[in-house]
Amino acid sequence: MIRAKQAVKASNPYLPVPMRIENTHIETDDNMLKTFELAFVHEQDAARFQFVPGQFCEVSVFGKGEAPFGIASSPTQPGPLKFTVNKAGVLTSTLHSMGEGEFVGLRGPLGNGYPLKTYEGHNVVVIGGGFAFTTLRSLTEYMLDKRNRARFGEVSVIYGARTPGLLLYKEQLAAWEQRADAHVHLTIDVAVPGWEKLVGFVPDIVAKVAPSSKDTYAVICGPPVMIKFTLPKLTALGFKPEQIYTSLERRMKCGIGKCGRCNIGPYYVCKDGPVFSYAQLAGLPQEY
Amino acid sequence: MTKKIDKTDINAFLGSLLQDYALYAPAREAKYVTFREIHAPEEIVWDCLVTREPPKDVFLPQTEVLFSYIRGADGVVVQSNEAVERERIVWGMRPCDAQALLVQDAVFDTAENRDVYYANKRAKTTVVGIGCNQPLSTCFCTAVDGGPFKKDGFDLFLTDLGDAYLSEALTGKGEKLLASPFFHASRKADEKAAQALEKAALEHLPEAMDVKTIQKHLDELVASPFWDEVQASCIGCGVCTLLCPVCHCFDIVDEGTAACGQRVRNWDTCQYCVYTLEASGHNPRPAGRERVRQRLMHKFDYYLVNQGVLGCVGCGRCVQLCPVNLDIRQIVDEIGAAK
Repeated sequence: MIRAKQAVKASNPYLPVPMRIENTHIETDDNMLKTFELAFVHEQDAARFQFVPGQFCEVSVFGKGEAPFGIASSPTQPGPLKFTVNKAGVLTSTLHSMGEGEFVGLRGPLGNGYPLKTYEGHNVVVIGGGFAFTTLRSLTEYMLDKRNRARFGEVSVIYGARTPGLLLYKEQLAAWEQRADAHVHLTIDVAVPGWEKLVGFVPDIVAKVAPSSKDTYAVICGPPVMIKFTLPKLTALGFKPEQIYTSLERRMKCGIGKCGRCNIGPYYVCKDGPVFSYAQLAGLPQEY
Repeated sequence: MTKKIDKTDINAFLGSLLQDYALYAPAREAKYVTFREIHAPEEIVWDCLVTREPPKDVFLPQTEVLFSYIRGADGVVVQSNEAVERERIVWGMRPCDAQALLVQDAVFDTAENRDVYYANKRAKTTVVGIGCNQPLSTCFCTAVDGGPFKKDGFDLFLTDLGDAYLSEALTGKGEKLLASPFFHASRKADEKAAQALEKAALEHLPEAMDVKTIQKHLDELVASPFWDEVQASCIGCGVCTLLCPVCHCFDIVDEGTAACGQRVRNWDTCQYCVYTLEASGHNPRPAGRERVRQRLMHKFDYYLVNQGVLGCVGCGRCVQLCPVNLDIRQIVDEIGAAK
């Protein structure tokens, strides 16, 4: 009986599996970003779930609906999946009010992650701004994992937020800063007492750090205005569109290319993305 | 195999089908003729070429429960609504709507992430088509790879010969219907009469569009002021997409509480501003310009890229129903002629 039920589940892509909230953690001092650690209720669902950094899931808050969130944890880390959620609408506000022991639903992993095979053997510059650092965290953790580190060249991180309190994953960032095999550049928009790291907008910091474009891929996520001003800086450093990747967001529903909501040109962000190179996006309507 | 059935026998035949099948056909609903389930053959409206609602509702209902959910001791238990028990027949579908069905097949009935709700209904359905002896002034199937007697997508195809329907089985499902004793042998003259009807119908219909040129121009027109002109009279009502037989976009919402309820999908349209509006307030398609462009580019460019077919079948519903008289034929002509 239980088996029959699972067979139906595996073949119906709209059915979520139950997840228990194991832990929650407020990331930013404005209380708007919260990380949820979700554990599979059923062992067989956990065994079936294999993902790569950059993929996302549809999280069900029953009674409110579903919304897509990038997976912030790395597949190299055992334990619950991490999702960092900005409190913005009805669903995310409800989710923010939920705590340990409560249940949500999950569909995924969905979409294509970062093309790790392409990045292997090359340097990778990770550029993030604000709270668009979730799947970048997954990617960086993955590359810095001791089982994977040798397969990548230099790993650099340039990450900025308006204030120190708005940076996500502070413990993780501190741990990366300690490593000799990673270059971490953290910046805030305007100087504040006690902050001894970089000050300035991400595009300017990219120009200042000036990562070499030779044998290098840049992976950039952030608010549209940050991306708009960073792309010319990368171009000036010699990065070609096919060397620059981003992960896009859209208002999605099905997550599997049926509901038609998230297309950019002929691509669906859900099934053809969310990770795209700027070579792929060239010439398409800038509907993102 | 081809046979024919006399019009005097058709209601008796359809009555016999009602015992074994759920039957969907063009029938009156309030002021309109639309595809809906019928319970007596007399409900069928035979002379309606283009129903108000396309038959897509049979496979992709305007509103459909995907599953119900209830909170249990170890999480949430979901109960899917995907099973389809009863065999169905869609009776009297027109070739343009069948062409649209084939486009939707390519979207939903895919090897990966198969949409079981759609596919289960499709698998249980026999599709009976009927040719269009007298196309309307808004019909343009021949411009977009279709035809008034095109048989693609049908299990059984009827041609109205006046006092009988010439009936051609195209699949095993069609053969099964044709095995009924209400059908009898057709003659050479019947086939000839059908060919003459098709020839006469084609005279009312336009020539094929130059699809390649239109697609190329669309790619070049992405940033053009052309779209500002097109959208100037559009009021964004969405009727062109909601009642389009090809358009398949939907929304998914929950109805209920955290403890129990159901997840439902509803038709949606890219012509509404909230369609792409994000919780942050950001809207990637903020104005009519982007939304009108999306509709045209999806139909005449993106479907070709992804499904290899056009997303317009020339049924003319959007032409008939647009409250400000926007005509997709004219827009496409302008795209084709754009420099």
